Amino acid sequence: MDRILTLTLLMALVTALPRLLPMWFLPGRRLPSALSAWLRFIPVAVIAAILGTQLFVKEGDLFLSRSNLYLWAAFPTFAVGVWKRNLALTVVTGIGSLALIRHLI
Amino acid sequence: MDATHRDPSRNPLRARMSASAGALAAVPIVLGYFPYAFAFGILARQVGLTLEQTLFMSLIVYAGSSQILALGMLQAGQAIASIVAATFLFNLRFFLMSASLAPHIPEWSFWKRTLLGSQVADESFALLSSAFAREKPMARYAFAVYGTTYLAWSLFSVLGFLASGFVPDVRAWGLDYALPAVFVGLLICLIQDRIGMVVALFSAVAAVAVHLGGFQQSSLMVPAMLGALLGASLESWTGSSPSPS
Repeated sequence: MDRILTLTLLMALVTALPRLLPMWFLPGRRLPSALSAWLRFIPVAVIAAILGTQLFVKEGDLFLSRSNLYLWAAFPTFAVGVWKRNLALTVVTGIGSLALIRHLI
Repeated sequence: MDATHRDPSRNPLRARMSASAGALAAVPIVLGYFPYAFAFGILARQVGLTLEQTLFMSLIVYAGSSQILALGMLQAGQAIASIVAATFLFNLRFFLMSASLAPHIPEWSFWKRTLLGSQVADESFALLSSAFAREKPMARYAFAVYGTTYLAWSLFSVLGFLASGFVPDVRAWGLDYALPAVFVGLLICLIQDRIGMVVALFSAVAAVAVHLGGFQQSSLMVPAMLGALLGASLESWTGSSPSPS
């Protein structure tokens, strides 16, 4: 079978399971508190892990340099995000900052 | 995430949980999806997906960040199994969202519950959980929110794909930064206390360390699982009571 099709079907399956299982089997029941505490931190941990590598790693090396534009653009993006707490505005700020920085350089 | 959501007193849901109120409440989410789904469509074409594959992924996976993540991993030449495992871990959060919506709808039929669960996403979850907390859950309202955001996501994915032919250099538009910026925005919304901040810093540093150590394929999952474990441990040690998400 085609590689992308296989990937898409498997992604759909593993994404649908966590969405559907609670709807089917957990009406009103409670999770063990340790498991629910762990699951609650998963989004923060996953997103921070991705963001860390996106901002600080380039081609397998630590990228701490003035030419790391992703890192520069992160400052206004974080500032607007903390200030406005609005996802759409944060995304537009990030994209706009990077475009602006690239045009200025 | 939007003005309607932040200020309950001006919330149109308060008056009526009709289908049109649901579609209206979803508009800010649709606007937020635009750059995001658009970037997905553009990246999908760059990575070498066809239009059909791009649309199909948006229609049946419907989980934005993990779709873009998958493209990035495909581009980096990672194995299908790694991408699927990353997708699973990344989307495990839907389990909690779905589990917190489920108690509101004990009287809904199996198929309605299935439909409600099948489209749980960060933004629509936030909107629906606040609506369900205030009013008796109405299926037509919930499915209007879903229908609007679902169609927008798929439509914008296709538009992004088609536009990438006319936007030869995405980098000049800064659109390659959509994903990092989405993650910055989501991270800020998700960090609710000091423990959350510690978890984020730990996970980010651990991910960079694992990545530099040559374990690119596990640089997401292992640090994230350890980071979440750290958070859960800190929470039980300090005895802080988390607000239910």
